[in-house]
Amino acid sequence: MNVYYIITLGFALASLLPLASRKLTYWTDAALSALLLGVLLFKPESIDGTARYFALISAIVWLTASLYSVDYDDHYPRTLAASFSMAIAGMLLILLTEDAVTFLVGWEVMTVASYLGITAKEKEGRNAYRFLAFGELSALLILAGFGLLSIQSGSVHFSGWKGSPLWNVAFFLATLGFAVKMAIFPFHVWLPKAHGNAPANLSAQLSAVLTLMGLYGMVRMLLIQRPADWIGVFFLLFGGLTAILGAAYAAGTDHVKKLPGYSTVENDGVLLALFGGAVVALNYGNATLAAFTLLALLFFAFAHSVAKGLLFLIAGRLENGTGRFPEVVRGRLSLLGVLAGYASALSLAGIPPFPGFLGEWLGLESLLQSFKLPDPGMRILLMLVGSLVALTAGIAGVAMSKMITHGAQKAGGRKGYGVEDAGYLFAVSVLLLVGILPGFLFGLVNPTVEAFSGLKATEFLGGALGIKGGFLVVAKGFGGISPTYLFLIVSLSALGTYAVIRGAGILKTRHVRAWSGGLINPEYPPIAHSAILLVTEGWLYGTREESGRLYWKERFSLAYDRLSKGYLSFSEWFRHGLMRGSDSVYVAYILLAAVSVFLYLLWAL
Amino acid sequence: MWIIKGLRKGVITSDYPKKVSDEELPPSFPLETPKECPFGAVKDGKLDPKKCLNCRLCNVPFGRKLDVDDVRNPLDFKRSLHVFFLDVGTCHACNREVAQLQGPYYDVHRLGIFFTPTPKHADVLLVAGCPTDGMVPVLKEAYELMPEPKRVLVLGACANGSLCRRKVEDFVPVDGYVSGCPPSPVQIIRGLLKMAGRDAE
Repeated sequence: MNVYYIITLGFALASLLPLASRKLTYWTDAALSALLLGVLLFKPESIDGTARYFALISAIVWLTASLYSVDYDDHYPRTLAASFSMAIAGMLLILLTEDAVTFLVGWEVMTVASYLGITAKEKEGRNAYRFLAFGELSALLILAGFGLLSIQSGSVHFSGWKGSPLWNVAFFLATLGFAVKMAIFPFHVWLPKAHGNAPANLSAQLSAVLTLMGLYGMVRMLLIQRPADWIGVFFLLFGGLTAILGAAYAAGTDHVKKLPGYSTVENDGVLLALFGGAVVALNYGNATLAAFTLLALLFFAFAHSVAKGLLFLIAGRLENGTGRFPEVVRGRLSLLGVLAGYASALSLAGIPPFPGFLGEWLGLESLLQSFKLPDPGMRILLMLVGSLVALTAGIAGVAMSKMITHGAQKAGGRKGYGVEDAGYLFAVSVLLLVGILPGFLFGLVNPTVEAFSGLKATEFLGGALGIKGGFLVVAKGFGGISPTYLFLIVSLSALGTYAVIRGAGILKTRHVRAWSGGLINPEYPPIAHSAILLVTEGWLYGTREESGRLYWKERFSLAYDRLSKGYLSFSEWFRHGLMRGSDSVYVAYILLAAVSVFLYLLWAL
Repeated sequence: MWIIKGLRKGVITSDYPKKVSDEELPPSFPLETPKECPFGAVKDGKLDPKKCLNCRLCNVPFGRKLDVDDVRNPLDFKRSLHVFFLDVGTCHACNREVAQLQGPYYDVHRLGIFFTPTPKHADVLLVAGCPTDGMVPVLKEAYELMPEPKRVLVLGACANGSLCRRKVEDFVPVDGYVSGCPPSPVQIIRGLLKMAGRDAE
């Protein structure tokens, strides 16, 4: 029995601790996460390279979120702490396992525990239910894919599935299941609602780690055997659409926690597009491009998870009552918290020196290299998706600047530091460290990239112009631009222009207040921040009216609404027929069953 | 139909300032100075036409066509002029006349005059109405926000200090007056053109 299973068991047992004290649970979780982090960094034996990388990202988020929760969770029911811990156990099980059954058990433990955690907040029954419904949909799709392969090959081990004739269909089913968990278009509707309304520590976990598990599943499947072209094309297209929709809605919303929720949709869309890009690149025989795309995917996953986890924690401190931006209260965050808000938002907006910038650059560089492929149709498709992702990066800047100016900036001013600040400090230093020295992370993803394309990720590290070898990221083989140069050129030219204008006295400025039409309204409202988008892209947000007629989009969303309502009421009816009790209790039974299977599996190992 | 009707009618935009038709001219003023005026337009035996409301309470025969404006401090502009219109308490008559300026008949765009939605872009602050308590700070703020060089043009008898005890002059420095109650659009255009340093003649 290796040390990772002991840690998993520790998380599972920590979910019993809230019976005594919630704080004790979170302290235990923090200690276990720190232990996990240490073991992963210094004694990485007996764990797969891919799993190690994903577990490392998760452990960083778990440590931050656990430290945060010590102060945060003092008025929620005990189920929240228990489910927080249990969901971690489920995710670790997913990461550690090599066979489909344990994977699915971990998946169910994760989903069901998170569901119970969302219901911990009052009046969130509907959103929690929606979360569970889509979670089960994804689980069913994965089960269908895995089941198909298991029956066909007679093995539940991932390694036994290689060379299966049904591979493409099963791969598509399973990855679609993972993508539903990552809120692919048109299944993106549930995510902002569920993540935006869950308690903050749980929504950080949902957005940062739970969606990461979906990505892990996809990468896992990809490493077994490569799928056909059309699957890559599917994920390229739908990933690009998801990304642009998520970005647009993130910029448009003025709900303090739905904004990061939509941002998660956006980032997951970029990840899905990169996934499709990697598949396409490898299928057309361009191993360098495939390796680079997979590297971009993995690096972007890191940037997204750590920064988004941190942003959700900050957003949890900002929200009160309505959750709208103007009601943000001063004194919610200490100075360190404000800085953490800045760091995470800047990283997500793709500003150097944070990892978000590097991730964004890697993603764009790999998607816009379509001319490397021989097929003209594929070139056009990649170029299209690349431009969508580039647009996404721009719009994300609007959303994140809203988060900073109306949120983090105004909530500062708390005296004294708490335990949560230690979490912020940890996450921010990780972000900065990785942003400045990404080489270490490249080394970590080496096994994954090598297994996929036969090339090492560290091959994309170079050195030139006085920068030491291995410290400069270069798109070796297909491009001369490096993010370091990009950063230097942009910042130097900006500083130079500023110096020239200021120095030569060309720029004469007069500072006057904004004209508010004579009204006493000094506040620049959050809705004005994105007003230009809301006005010009009225067709997207549904803010444009046209002579009382229904748009095709409105018809579509109406139909979609009716369908989801019908589905919900059907399941309600079904539930009433099946068992007339509280569904939380029922779901808890399922969790108990899953845990006992998990314990049985542990015993059997 | 509309196109045919329009074609048959020809150009309908005013020829002003090249030519002024009789209908467009401002209303008549008293032929002689009245003895007294309930609104204080007569001072020291002289009529101040900027304050005259044309109410005819003075019983003096009317009939003088008088185009009164008094622009003291014109801008040294050659081309376009940007105007911010501020209503500080009107009966809405002045507003309607100002609104006429942007209509197809007077169409001040042809003269390079533009209305801006914020004083931060304006050269001229066009004020109408007698300053009410609520609007005084707004008036001051609007003046404050305007970039240099800035001018204030005052419209109508109220703003010139006729009907109520206050006038715009008490709060912000004023550089030009247009008379009338309400002033005719032609007068307003003339005042604006003078303010822009482009005399109508």
